[in-house]
Amino acid sequence: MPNLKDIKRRIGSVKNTQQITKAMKLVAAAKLRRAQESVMASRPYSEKVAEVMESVAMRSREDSHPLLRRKEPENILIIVMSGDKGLCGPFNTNVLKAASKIIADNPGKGVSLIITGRKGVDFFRRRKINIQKIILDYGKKLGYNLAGEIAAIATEEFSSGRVDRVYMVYNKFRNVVVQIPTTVSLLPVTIAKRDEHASPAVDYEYEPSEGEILNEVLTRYIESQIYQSLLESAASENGARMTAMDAATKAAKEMIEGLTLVYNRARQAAITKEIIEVVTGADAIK
Amino acid sequence: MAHNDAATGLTLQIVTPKGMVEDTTVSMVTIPGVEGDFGVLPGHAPFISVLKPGGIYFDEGGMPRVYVVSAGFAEVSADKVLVVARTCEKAGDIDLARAQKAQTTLEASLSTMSPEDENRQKQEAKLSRAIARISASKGETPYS
Repeated sequence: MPNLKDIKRRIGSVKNTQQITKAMKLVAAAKLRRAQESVMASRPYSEKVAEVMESVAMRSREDSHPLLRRKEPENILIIVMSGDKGLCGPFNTNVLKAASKIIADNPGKGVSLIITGRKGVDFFRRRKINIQKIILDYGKKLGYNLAGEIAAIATEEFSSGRVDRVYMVYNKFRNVVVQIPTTVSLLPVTIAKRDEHASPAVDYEYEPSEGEILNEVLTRYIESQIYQSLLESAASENGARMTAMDAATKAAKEMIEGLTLVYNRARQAAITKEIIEVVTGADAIK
Repeated sequence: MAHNDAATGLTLQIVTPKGMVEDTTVSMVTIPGVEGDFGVLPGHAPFISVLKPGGIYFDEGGMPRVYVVSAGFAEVSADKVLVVARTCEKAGDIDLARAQKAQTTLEASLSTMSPEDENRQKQEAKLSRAIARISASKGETPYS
């Protein structure tokens, strides 16, 4: 017969866990709301930068800027956006899998990484892959300046020729339940094919010069892409954590119900046993 | 472009990573380009300019409005001005004392810095931002 005290202790510990998962869910929900707002707020910026970048880059030749130059990749750089903490469902696994796939698809090539989040660092350290830059605790630092910092490293590596391709992997935020691991080829900048039927592009004048404008616009474009992805990744992390913690809370609730049932049965059995003992004792005296 | 009536005005949009700051119709706007401030009227020839830290000036409903932008660029077409800036603040929101303090500290540190210092460019950019803030919050226009 299960010990009553043990069951009671068990119920207490599951209840404690449930409280923690519930609190984590609420925190994730609050953070998610904020993250979603930032994603929405940054969207016009990214869109406008992309629009201008496309229209400027379309009118210039491929060799007019180092960030547009395309060659056979020998060394690749991957920006991996993982999280600092676990307990968020497949969030980290998905992004690490996507990054590992790029590495597997590029056998024999030099790979270096820029990683946000402790989970990614732990994962790739074990695999002995060259980590160029680590950004931990990025939830607090998350802002345009962080994106600028990452963009500066990536563009410097690319334009110096140390890497010939830059990828970015992150979880795209669809909704609270669905986050899509996404791989983006960041550099060289790819320009959508010119639409033959589109109205002829207006000829722009550039101030100070075409090169400077391209430089400015491309830099902003890379920054905004990274910024947008960082925000999406943050939203995804909190969405995934919210879903995972919601499931954990529900599981704890079921467990408590089951344990309470077992506890009551055991209690009932104990009472019955005692009554039988009393009755038998009384009978013996007669 | 000739069919663009000047009276229809100019759409002015200012976007930053934090969102669309301004989306309005103006009759004229002054923008701080790297090669000097320039005014845009409806029907302007299309062009793109890199920005320097400074004020964007325009009138809205007869009221003068000033924004201070840092790095970024502006795209001008016949009836539309798009300003893409890294940061943008309303002149009214600027903390004048803080900007002035930043100016003095930056000027002091720059005067002791060697010309080859790698931080020099950053500090100079900060200084020009502080100066732009100060002049905008004092209500100075490029013409005054």
